[in-house]
Amino acid sequence: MNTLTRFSRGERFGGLFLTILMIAGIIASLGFLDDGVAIDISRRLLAPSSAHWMGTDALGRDVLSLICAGAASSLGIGILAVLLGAAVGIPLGLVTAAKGGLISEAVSRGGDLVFAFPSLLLAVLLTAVLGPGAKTTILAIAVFNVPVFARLVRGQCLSLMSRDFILSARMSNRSTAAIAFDHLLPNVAGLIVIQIALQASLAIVAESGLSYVGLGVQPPFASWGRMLADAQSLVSVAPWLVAFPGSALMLAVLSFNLIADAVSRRWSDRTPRLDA
Amino acid sequence: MRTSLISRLGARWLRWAPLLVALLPTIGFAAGRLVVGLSLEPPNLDPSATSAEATQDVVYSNVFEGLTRIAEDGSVQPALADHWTISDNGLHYRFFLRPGVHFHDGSVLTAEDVRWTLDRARQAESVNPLHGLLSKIVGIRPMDERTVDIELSCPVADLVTTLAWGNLVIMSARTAGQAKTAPIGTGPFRFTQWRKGDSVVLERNPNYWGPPARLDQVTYRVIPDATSALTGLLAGDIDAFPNFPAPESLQQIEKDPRFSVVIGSTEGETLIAINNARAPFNDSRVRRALAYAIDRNAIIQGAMYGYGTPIGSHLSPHDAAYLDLSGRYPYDPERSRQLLKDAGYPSGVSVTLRLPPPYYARRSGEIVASQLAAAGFQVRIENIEWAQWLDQVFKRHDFDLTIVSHTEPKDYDIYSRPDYYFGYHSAQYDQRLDVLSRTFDPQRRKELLQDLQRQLADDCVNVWLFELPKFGVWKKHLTGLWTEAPVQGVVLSAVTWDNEVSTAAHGSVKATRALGTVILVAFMAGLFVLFRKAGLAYVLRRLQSLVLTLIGASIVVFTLIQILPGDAAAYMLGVNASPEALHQLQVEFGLDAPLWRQYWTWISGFFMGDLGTSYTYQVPVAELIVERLSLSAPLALLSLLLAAALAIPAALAAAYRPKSITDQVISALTQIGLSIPNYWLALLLVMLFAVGLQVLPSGGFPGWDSGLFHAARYLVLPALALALPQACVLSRVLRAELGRVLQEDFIRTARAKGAGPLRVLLKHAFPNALIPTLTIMGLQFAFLISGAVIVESIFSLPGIGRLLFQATAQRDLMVMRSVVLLLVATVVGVNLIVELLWASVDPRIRKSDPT
Repeated sequence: MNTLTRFSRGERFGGLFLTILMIAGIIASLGFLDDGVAIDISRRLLAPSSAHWMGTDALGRDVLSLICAGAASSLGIGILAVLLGAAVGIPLGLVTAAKGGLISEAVSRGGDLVFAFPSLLLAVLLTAVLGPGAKTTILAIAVFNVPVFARLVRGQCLSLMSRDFILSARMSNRSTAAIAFDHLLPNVAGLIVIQIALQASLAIVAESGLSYVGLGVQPPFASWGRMLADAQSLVSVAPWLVAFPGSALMLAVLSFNLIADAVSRRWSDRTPRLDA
Repeated sequence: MRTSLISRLGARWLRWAPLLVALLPTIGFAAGRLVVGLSLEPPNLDPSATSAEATQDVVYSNVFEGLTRIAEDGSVQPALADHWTISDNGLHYRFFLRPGVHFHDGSVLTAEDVRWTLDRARQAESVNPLHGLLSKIVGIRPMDERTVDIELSCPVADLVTTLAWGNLVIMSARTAGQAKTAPIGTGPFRFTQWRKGDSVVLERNPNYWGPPARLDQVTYRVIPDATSALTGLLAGDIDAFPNFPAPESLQQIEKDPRFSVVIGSTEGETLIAINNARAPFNDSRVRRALAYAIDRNAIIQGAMYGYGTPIGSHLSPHDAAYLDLSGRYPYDPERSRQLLKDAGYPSGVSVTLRLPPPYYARRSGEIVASQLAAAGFQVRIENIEWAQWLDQVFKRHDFDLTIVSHTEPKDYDIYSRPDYYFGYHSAQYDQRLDVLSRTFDPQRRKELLQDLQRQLADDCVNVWLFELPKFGVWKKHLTGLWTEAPVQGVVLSAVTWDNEVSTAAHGSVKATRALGTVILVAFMAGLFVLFRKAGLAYVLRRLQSLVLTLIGASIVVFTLIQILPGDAAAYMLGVNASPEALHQLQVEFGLDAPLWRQYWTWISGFFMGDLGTSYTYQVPVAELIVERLSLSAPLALLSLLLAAALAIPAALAAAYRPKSITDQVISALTQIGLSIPNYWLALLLVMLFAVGLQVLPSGGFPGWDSGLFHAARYLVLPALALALPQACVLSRVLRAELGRVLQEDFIRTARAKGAGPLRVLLKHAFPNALIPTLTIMGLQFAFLISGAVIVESIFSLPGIGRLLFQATAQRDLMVMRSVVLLLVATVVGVNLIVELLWASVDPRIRKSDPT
């Protein structure tokens, strides 16, 4: 049977668009689009045409090539930041759920603090100390993802802790770590996947926002946020500069959201069977 | 009960929303009023203490005047001194003050004021940026009430010019202390009000000694962002932009019959500064390789849209002694590679290009980087803030290349300063400069100045790019603004409208105050009810945990902010500060005390309600925060209510028939809405409502004192931009929650008892689904207060987010700490209120451990 039919419309659209973006990003990072990305004052501010499908910007760069190159920064940073946040947050959540006590209290208070801390300020602080660039951006976004995953995992695990299969594992004297990884983790895996997709959509917006204020990846690396910031004052002269990167950003966010949505629907369909 | 109270409150508030939009009277300005756009906010208003151009833009020749002044053509004219004499040996100057000059506080200008001003500027610990130029003065003596003598140790050819510059304006010893926040001068305008982050207001000085100003009132509005500058202009909110920051928009503005575009020149030599002291740039072959690699015309075309005169040395093209050396190193990447090879770098040199925020630097920087890369350099761009630039580049000389515009007039002396950031030292240059300062003969001076220019170009100290143009943009009916900028400042004494525009009446202030009070009282009453419902023991337990969190947070916040490189003193004093002055200011700010004591001073003050004084604004931090919160809190509230007003009906309609077309359409729309970044939406809204339809202002905030409805109009678009994405989130949460509740037993019971589907939805499901929704709204409120920075800057709103962002850029630790802690407290506080809401509904929570 056609495997595609197993996926919902949302998943198909999201998956397809993200795949295209990723391929575009890879093509750009391999240097195939260097001509388009290069500054060439002689071809500046050209409207969309057959030579430049999405027009050119104020420095004569091809907008389509820039969007492809920007996809690499946007998706790369967004996904890496979320994975980094998850890699730290999930074990934290598991451990605090399994152990409880003072550590648990400290971790959740720390999480409160991170949630309450103005995100842009943290990015400015990190940039001032580490210098601007992709690494700093990933770190700044990852920090806000840590408590998200820690909290999610902890909350879910706490409700699992009183279930029979955990009690039986406990009675058979299994270590806390073994319980956490063998019994708790598989049961929250689905939720983690949903959360990763959701967080990735937020991370992409965050990355564009940071680039927009000049903190994200630095030129010559392209970034959708900076393209939008540059385009703003040209909006009536060259509206394509606002329309295309903005739409790319919106569609990427939408794709992640649709995937998260579809996975969570699948997951909630599955849940009753787990309970039975 | 509770939900109905909330919904009633909501309904009452929602009634205002259409009203706000409906009330759209057009606002014009009175004949004598002018709104001037400024790209940067002045750090303070004391021109003797800062080299910030924004300060000069407001006060030079408007509020303060010097003994002499610079006219638009660059010539030196009498100002407070109506004439002066110079002794034959050039060592004695005698200035005769104009009779009948009064300061704005009514006191008379005397020779003693002149002595005090100049003595203060030249003393060792002076923070005056021109401090160094006064070193040849050995004595200043008032001879009588209106005569003052200045004695020099050796002749100084341009003393009369120096005295005309903005940093040496005459102040009075009695009032100089307040000049940072409320300056008192002798000029045609007097200071009225400074709304931090938004505007400075001046009004006509009726007792001016000269021809009175034609305008009654001038408002300088701070618009840091190029897009907002354009939209503000097009929307008619700004009358004039003497230094318009977006050359790319000039063509568009020129086509608009409402505006004049006037392109003049500044004293800004824009250059790629090279760290001459650092290898490999200490090798002149490498510096020449840089120069040959640069194509000035491409940069002027690409970054400046063709505006700007190419220059090849450090003097402005409109100076009589100017020598065009821009062809000294013609664009030749091959030659550049060859020079690098000769210098021993066959595989190129890697360089870091640090770029400060101004548009010309960032834009030129990208092109410079691509040109250097083509000539064999490996370039890394680092965009940094001003505070970092001052600290890393200017103070610690930690850079390879940077791009900056040196806007002080005739500042060729910087190349002989011993510890200047270029790291350039030449005995021959110093000697030539010394000869120049003693030379009065114009022809000889010209030759000497040309020698200086030639030497700088030959040594290839920097790569000079272009003279920064001055883009003046203003309404057609406005006359009298300067085309040229021979000196920093926006001189307004001759500015006038040549037609009359009527003014619109503002609403009453009383209504605003009353409404504010009502909201506050309602909030307090609500809190009280909540506390009672939740039970005292529970509330106390939560409060205790809240205080502990805040103490922990304060330590983290303090430490984090302490790590920031750069300091406020350096930022304030700018590029020409002496080390003594810097130290003096650091002591004044308490930056020399041990850390634990700084922490203790801050935190003990914080809990007593004393947040200290802002370094940059020199006003109490608490005052700043309250001023900003008076915008941010209502804006957040308005957005939240707007979001709720959109989300609740949408979610109810969707849940009414699950899986129906309506449900699917709403789901799709909210999914898309959720994916639109709010700043993009903000921009689209501005283009549509402010620039296109011109029914709402594009940005700025006049303050609540200007009337409730008048002020609220300025919040409609920002609130909408913030609300739409939040509404989508809210609607999805509520829809999901309604779906869950509708499955529950009590709904089935209600149905069984014969309740219709609409009644079940509204009376049974909705109240139950509302409480989890409130949790999300609580989080959203906290986000809306602190997380709206980008939207705030698009609309030039002086909100708390932008206060924090600016304070960070200016390293104003006092403001940063307290604002961050306050924001943290808001989030924790809102969470507490949400928890109390839960607890007051659900007795199980009260009894169990809340975590």
